[in-house]
Amino acid sequence: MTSRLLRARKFVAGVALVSGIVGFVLASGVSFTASRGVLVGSLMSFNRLGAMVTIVLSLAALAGCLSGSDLLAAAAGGGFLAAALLQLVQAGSEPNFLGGRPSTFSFFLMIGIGLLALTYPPDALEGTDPKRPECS
Amino acid sequence: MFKFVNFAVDHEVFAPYAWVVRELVLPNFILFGWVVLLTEASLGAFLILGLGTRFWALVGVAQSVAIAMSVLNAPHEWSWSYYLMIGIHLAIFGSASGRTFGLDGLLRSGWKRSGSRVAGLLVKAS
Repeated sequence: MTSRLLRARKFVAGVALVSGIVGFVLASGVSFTASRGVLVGSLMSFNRLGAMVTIVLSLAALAGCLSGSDLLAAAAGGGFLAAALLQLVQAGSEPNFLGGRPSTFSFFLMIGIGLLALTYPPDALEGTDPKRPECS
Repeated sequence: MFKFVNFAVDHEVFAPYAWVVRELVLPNFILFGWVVLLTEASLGAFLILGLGTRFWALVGVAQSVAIAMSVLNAPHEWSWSYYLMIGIHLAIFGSASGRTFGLDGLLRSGWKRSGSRVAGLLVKAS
């Protein structure tokens, strides 16, 4: 169970990392903070800043796993939720710092909630399970 | 979205629903738009994660029914697309797919062991 939670957390962070890298490559033709980003697989959109934020946060989540720091993984999850909030406020308007759309908000929300739910499962919050996920 | 919501009044499907749209939704459209945006974005996020899957599947059914009752009689609409949307959400609800391919499956046993009220709600939602 512990290793399954850890694998799931790495998978969620990995999905975010791949999405960010693909977004960064695809957004090479638009300005760094273009309000209308480039679509990634007909799903969410990023400009290069939005893709970089995604890459940095997902690397932080992975680093949190590798270093055994739940706090770092949770901070990355919180960062994704903050990015989601920013995207929610700015989607469809200018300025739009991350170049996203409502589906980008949904993506950030998914990654943020996924990381937080997997970092602090109920047993960990109550301190009743000594076998909660360790990331090393 | 304003155009499609107006279809509920201009091409009425179900009179009480058309009345609700005309009297409540359209006069408060900004609020309604935000609620729909948050609901649809959360729907996608939670169903892909497989977290609280059964609850969000029911939200999806409600959302699909609302869309169907808005546009079913509008020109050039294919009604089966909405029946299929409802059916897919019902299938997700019935199969509780998050327990197999989602976070529900990873976290549900912990929720069951936990005595907290939130965990109890999450068990029911999954």
